[in-house]
Amino acid sequence: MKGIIFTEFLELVETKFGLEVVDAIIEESAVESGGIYTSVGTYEFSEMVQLLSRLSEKVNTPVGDLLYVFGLYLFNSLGKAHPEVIRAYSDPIELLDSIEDHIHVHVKKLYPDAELPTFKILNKSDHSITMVYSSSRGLYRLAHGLIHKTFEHFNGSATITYELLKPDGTEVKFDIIQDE
Amino acid sequence: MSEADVQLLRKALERQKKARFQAERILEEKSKQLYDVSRHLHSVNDRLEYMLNEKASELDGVFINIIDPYVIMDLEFNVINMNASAKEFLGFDHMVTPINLSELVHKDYVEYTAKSVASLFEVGTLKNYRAKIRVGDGTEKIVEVNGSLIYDKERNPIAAQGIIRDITREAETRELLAQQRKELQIIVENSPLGIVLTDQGMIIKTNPRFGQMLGYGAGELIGRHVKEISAPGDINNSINLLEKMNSGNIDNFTIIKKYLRKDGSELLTKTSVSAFKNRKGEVEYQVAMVEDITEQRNLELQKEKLLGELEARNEGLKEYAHIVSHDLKSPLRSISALATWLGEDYKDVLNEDGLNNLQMMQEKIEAMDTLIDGILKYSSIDLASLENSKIDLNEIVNDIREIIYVPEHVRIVILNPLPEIRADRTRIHQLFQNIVSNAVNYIEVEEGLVRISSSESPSHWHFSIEDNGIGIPAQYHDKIFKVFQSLDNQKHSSGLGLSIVKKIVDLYEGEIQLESEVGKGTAFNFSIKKI
Repeated sequence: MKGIIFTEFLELVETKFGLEVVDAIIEESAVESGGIYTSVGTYEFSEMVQLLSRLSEKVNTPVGDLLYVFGLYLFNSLGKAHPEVIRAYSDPIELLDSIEDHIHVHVKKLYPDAELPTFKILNKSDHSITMVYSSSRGLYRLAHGLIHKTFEHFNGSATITYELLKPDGTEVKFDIIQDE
Repeated sequence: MSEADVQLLRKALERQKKARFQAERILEEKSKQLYDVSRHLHSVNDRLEYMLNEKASELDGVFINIIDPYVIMDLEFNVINMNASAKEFLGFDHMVTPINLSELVHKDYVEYTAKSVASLFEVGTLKNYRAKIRVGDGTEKIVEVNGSLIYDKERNPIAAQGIIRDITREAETRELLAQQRKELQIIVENSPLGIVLTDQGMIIKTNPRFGQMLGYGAGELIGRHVKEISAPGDINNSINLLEKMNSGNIDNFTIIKKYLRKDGSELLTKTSVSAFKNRKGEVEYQVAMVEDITEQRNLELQKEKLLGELEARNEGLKEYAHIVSHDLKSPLRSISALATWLGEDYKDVLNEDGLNNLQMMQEKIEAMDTLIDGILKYSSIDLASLENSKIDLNEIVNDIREIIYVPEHVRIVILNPLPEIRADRTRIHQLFQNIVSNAVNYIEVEEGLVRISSSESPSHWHFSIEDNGIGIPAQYHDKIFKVFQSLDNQKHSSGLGLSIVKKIVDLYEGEIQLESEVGKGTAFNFSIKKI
């Protein structure tokens, strides 16, 4: 997993829960990297899992919710790092439609070894879109947060519902309907 | 700040430092990678540039050195590039004036061109495109174009190239050939001679006349061997000559050949065979021209028969004349002898009248004798008996002066030396003697003059024998050359003399005419063909 996810995650934890919590989850999970992450590096996904579960325990919040919140936060981080990607779109539905064919393609050009989820568009209209998230990591709640923030960025909002096509969350169908 | 906070901050700081080191190392690593990639790219670039230059130079070389006009155009037919040869041929320079090739195409070929272009785009190549175009100076030319599309990296056509060949001359030649072939066809089809083409004796082609001559329909003879249509026994004649021709010793030969008609009858022909050689000089096939000579042969046979009959008849007549004259002369001699004896034995008894009568009898007998001689001479003159040799006419005239009786008051004069001619001595002697003696005998003036002169034309000798004798009345001018017409019964003429003259002149393909005025004189003008 790319370092930027880790660094942003720890930033979020520091902001929301304080430096102490950060320190604690690092020490307690005893991750191999020692909590030393740089955004340009690459680290084991399992470390993220460990940090998340430690945090979940510490702050008494389900991992899923934590991921959702992280998703909301991550949108801005990614936008700051690559503003040209967001600028290319004038419409949230268009952006979501282009994740697979354009955005992730662009990401792969910059980070060839990035392991990204795949999105399949089932149907799309001017104000709605149905897509299927697939990833071995099962971070659909992260995707959820990112999707929500997308609409917010364009000064809108949407009703997002999801359905687990596989119980472990590696395949999830999202139904997104933009609010008028 | 509490100790715990400080500790926390110290730890966090420591992690940050380490994270920064990591980042720096990753950066260095990335830098090095970038440098390596850049260097690799540079060398690849250099190589590419070098290859490109090479290829461009190669292409330039090809472009310049192609002798044929070579043109590159875009997909709308605008010329992008043309070599020197193309500029010369088309009469345009694309760098001076933009050219669109579609403007050059002759209007009759516009549709064909559109189809060809469509095909080019479909197949990618264009072969044997032939059309009429108008070049820079306005002349029309016929061209052949072979070309292909030029593609970009994604196999999209971006241009087309082609080589142009001027085939105007070729096209003209082809048209001329076609014309000539048609003309030849007409000649062959309509020839009154039969024409046959054979290969090793196998008939390849015949014209309608040949088929007609042998009674076969069109095409019936093709594939058959000449042997099949030759009369049996006739084939061997040609085999020898054919071999000579096939081996190149002779180019052609003509033989009399008998063909076999479809109905079994024979056709007599004069056949001329020529060899048709290919470019290597080998005999490819034989052409025979066949002329039906049956009619001709019949005529020749007839002529021969007639000639034979004629000769026989002639011989017969000559013999007859000989016999008759002999038979006729014999009693004459007897009568003459008897008359003489009568005169001698009874000259005492007979009176002047009686003796006169006997004398007159002798004269008549002599006249008849002369006449018989004359007839014999006349009948013996014919073409076959002419023995031509070189004779000096001056000599002949001198001989005649000696032989005939020339009265004292008459002179025979040769005005200009007579030529030496080729003719039968006896006949010419006869000819001159007859005229001269006529001239001499009929002169009554005191100074008689017989003048002989000659002249020459390209084909004939011309002679003139003039006298100042009594002349011949105009009404006799026609009859005079006819047999037995004598104008004077007293003298020694048989009446045949001038007929003989005319016969000889005719034999020598000459002409004779006379001019005469009664009391003034006579001139005989005649000619003899030079041989």
